Amino acid sequence: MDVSQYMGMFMDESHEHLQALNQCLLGLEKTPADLGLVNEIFRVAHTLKGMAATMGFSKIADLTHKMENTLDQIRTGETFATEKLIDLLFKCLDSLEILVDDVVSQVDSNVDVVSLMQELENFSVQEDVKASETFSENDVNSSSLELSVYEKDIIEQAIKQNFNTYHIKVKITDDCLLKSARAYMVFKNLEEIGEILSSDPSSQDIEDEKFENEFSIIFVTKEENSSVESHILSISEIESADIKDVSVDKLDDHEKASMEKMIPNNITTGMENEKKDNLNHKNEKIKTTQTVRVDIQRLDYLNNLVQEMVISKTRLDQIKTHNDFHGLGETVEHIGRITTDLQDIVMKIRMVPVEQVFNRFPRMVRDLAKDLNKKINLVIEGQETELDRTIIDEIGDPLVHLLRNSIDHGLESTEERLAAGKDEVGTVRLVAYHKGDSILIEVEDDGKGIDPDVIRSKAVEKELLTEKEAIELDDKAAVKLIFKPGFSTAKEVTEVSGRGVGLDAVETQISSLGGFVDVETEKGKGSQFIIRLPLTLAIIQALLIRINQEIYAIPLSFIDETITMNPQDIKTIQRQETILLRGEVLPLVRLSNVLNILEQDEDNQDEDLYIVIVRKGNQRAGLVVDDLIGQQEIVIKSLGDLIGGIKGIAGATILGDGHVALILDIGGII
Amino acid sequence: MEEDRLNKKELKLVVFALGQEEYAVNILGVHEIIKMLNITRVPKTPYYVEGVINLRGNIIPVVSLRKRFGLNEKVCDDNSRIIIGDIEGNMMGMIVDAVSEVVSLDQSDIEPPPQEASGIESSYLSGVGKLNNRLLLLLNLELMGIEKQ
Repeated sequence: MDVSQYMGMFMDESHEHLQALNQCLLGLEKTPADLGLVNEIFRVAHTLKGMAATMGFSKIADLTHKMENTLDQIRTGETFATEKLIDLLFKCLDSLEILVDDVVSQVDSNVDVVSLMQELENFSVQEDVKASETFSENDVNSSSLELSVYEKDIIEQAIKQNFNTYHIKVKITDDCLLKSARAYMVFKNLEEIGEILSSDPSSQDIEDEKFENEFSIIFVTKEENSSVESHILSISEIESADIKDVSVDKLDDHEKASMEKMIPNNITTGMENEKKDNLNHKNEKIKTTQTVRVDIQRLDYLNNLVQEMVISKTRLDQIKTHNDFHGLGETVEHIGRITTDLQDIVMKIRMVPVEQVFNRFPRMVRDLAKDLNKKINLVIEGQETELDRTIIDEIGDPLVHLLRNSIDHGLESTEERLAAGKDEVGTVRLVAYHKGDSILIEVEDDGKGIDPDVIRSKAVEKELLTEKEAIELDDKAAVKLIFKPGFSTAKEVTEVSGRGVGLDAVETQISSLGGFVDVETEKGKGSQFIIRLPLTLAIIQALLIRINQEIYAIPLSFIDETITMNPQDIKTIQRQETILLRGEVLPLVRLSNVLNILEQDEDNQDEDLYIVIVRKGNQRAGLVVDDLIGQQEIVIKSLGDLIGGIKGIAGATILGDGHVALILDIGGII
Repeated sequence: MEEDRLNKKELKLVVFALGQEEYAVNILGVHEIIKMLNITRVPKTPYYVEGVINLRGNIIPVVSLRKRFGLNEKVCDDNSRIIIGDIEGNMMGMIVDAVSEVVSLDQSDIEPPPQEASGIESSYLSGVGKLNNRLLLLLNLELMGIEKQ
């Protein structure tokens, strides 16, 4: 069978499944007793196995098969999720990731699947013995109805809150024709006065009439025994209802045994909360929307067409003002509304939740915490915040860098934290949210903060500053030095961070996306890195300007203000034209020179000049232009491979009249 | 046998005029032919790059073949056309004096480019086609890319 046409699908889906696996494993590590997670992992491994087997990737299929076996044993309670086992499962996950990547790059990384499989097998065997021992003891205690951990938990809570839990055996008369209908009525009546936890056989089987005349139910209610009985017997063709209390001690024994079995380590405190979290977690899962995978190029094409339509609409508008046929105005307006909506939705399609990037961090932080022997609690908020696809693809590396930085340099070691009177578990917060036209992403730690004095002396040592300059620098400016190229405060090069690429790499990457990074810190309390990004790369606000007959766009984010100034006020210092603006000396850039535009006749020497004050970081400059046309939302387009990469030109945009205007790259000009 | 079959292979060519010469380019490399559009000059590009145009929402660079081949400049008129060609996967426009027709030419009627083709850098040509009494200079699109400055 030729499966090459399914490759894309396989890749996408397996990445998705691996991501899910990763998340579930992380969850399982926190709450080893959560069978829901085990089931989820089992399901994912099973799906992967099926997909890989169909595509003929036997290594993936074999490994997932073995994983399935082990997971199945956890599921049935034969073994439990110890730290060792979870580590092993993580190892399997890593290997699976490599294997899937191998499929893409068509190479063979020689992943040692066999030894991993052997380890899994060993695990099963060795646990088998232990598990079977505990199990035989358990069997004596267990009631006739098998309860899941989740159900036991609810029963336990119910009893605490003075609910009654009953084990009800319902018998339907032999001559009953519609057994499932009667059973359904029993269920319905009972649900009015309480909650049915489980039934034997399962409700599905009962519905399908896959039972004899009897079925049993575990039922939680506030009603008394007799009242429950009357509720059941009020239904005709019910022969008897045998109601027994599910006693606390009986449950307790059973409970304790199984709890101990499930929880290998000393994670007994906070069980209640975690369980509740799990319940919430389950509810969240249901909220998935249906999606369709679309090639991004098709979206770009759609985007182009919609923009073309917007331009045509503007032309229609112009025609309308010249000759207003009957009904034309109305139609044009209608088309206008549709195109605006279309434009809006096309833009929204390109937006993806930042979750895609954030998802991989819990695992990374877990591994880092293990490597560095630090206790870290990673808090992620706002992962549903949406960003343009192009930004999403670029934002991952800078964030990894900042997180590593916070964990390696920011957070103290456990001993240091305890000595400073802090919680031994360090908190790293990763938060994304909207603010006006921007998206903000914050990486915050409650570590030792950045000491401006250390930065100062380091900067002098690295010859970035003279001693005098360093002393004159205020604290905030000193801290900002960490973004300077060639600055790295790590005393020793660790594997985690400090590999020569400092925070300057982060800043470069962020500013290439049209955003910037800022840092706030308090010694002893922690630091916060704030990344501010534009909502989308595709559309920006820009100021259109004219030089001679040519129109250019300057992104508004670079503009501080626009002023007019008499040419007489321009002073030349060392052959550089400058202006004095409110006491600040700014260099003046004649755009006509930079862009090789022919100067207009110089007969109007005395007329005021339009000057746009632009800023790049701390650098400011004035750009001389002939005219300001106005502020406008523009769509950024690349100049393409053939002539792209011109210094000073960031791209091009299409104006309302269909003409092309170039977008200036202020960074390349001043 | 095999050679015969190959030799019989026919090429479809778009014929266009540039000064006194007739040029042709393989139709497979041509996206479309459009009338002159408003061209936006782009600074810091080679002298023969006229600028960029907006072709249904795509920004496409346009070069003047006259400038590129060192011919006298000529003001664009009603006959002027922009041939949108495919240069290694990128679209590029080429301004020509006029586009006349599409012709079929047999492989065997194509000769290698002359050493000195009327002052034009012969490196842009893939051959010379003979069509009745006409000589068509065959443009090699692959070599038409824009040099980075």
